[in-house]
Amino acid sequence: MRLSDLAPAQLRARCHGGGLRFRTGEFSICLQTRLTSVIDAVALLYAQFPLLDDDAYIDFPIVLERPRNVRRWWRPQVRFLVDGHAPFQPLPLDQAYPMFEWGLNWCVSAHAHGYLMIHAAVVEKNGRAAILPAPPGSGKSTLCAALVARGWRLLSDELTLVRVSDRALVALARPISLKNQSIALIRQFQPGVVASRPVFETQKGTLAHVRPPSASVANAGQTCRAAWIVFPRYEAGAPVRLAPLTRARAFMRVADNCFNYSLLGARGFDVLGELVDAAHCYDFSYSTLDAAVGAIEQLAQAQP
Amino acid sequence: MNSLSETDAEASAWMLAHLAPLLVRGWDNEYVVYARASGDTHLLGAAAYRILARLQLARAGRAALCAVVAGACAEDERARCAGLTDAILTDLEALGLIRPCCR
Repeated sequence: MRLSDLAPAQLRARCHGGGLRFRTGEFSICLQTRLTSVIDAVALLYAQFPLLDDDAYIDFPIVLERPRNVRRWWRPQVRFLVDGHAPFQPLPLDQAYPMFEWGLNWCVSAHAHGYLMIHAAVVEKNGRAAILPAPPGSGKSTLCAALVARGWRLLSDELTLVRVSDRALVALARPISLKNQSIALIRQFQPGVVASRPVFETQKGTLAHVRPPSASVANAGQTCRAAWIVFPRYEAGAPVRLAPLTRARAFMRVADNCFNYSLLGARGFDVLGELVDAAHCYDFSYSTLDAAVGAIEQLAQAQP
Repeated sequence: MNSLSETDAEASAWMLAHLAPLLVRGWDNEYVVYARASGDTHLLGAAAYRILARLQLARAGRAALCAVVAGACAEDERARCAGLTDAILTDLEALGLIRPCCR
């Protein structure tokens, strides 16, 4: 049973009551909230995600609520709780849904140490994955959304999970986070794309989330292997350019983009070494999405 | 005399800074090295890696390490090997990977 199988009143009742229990990738979530903006966004963006039984084990019990203080009436806020603890300061109420996504990213990155976690988008075609590590503002999620719009399977736009036990890439297909001009860019690139309403004046600017394709959600259990590590950088007016990068330099840069490389110690070194060993590595600059997607497609065809 | 020359040799000899073995992966003459003692990862060139590999076997003097570096240098760079070796030893010491035996 999926979220979309619930009538709006049933979905709301679960969120208001014992919690909406669903699975995203390897993780189980129980969401309790009375905030309509969050319930509406979850209904839209997580429609294809599988529901869990009431007795299912829950990794992250999440509550989004309005704090009971004076702010309840003056500049209202939202608070994110996981397992009863609030890891962040409250945010303006308008940002409740982005806070859910940010909070869920934090839950995974702070706890899932059975994986080497890279701050990177990851997409797959024909069983081979392209990892796109990059700092914020480099166009990583925009390029990820464009590749997914052209048929690549979404594993994640934010967290690449490399399972320590077998080095497999594990999917965490969740809504793709777009910022500022990227929102209009993707709407233009993929007319009809399903996205949440933009939220303005967040710490990252204007934000909207794109619904992951049904096939990416349905196939979230399929692992794959990394074939390419591509460091994307959007440069206004720049021609598309893929420049080979030595594996040792790619290793260092991926390590810099990991959440838990240091924490995993020698195991992190081994996992990352094997990941880089199996991949072709590139620096990638682009200014238009059509050209960028074309270049990645060519790369995939040239290195079957 | 003998004991003086041994002291001199000891003074210019180097060893790994820690007993824990280093983890190394190399591609195309570039190497990443994980130091268990510090938890740091370093990117090294071929000459620096050769010095570390030599010191993993046993402590060694500057002359022996110069010879190791010479093996990683192109023909026209050999004249600069001594200076290059000193620079690499300084860098590796600063990274906490090696130390002089006498310290």
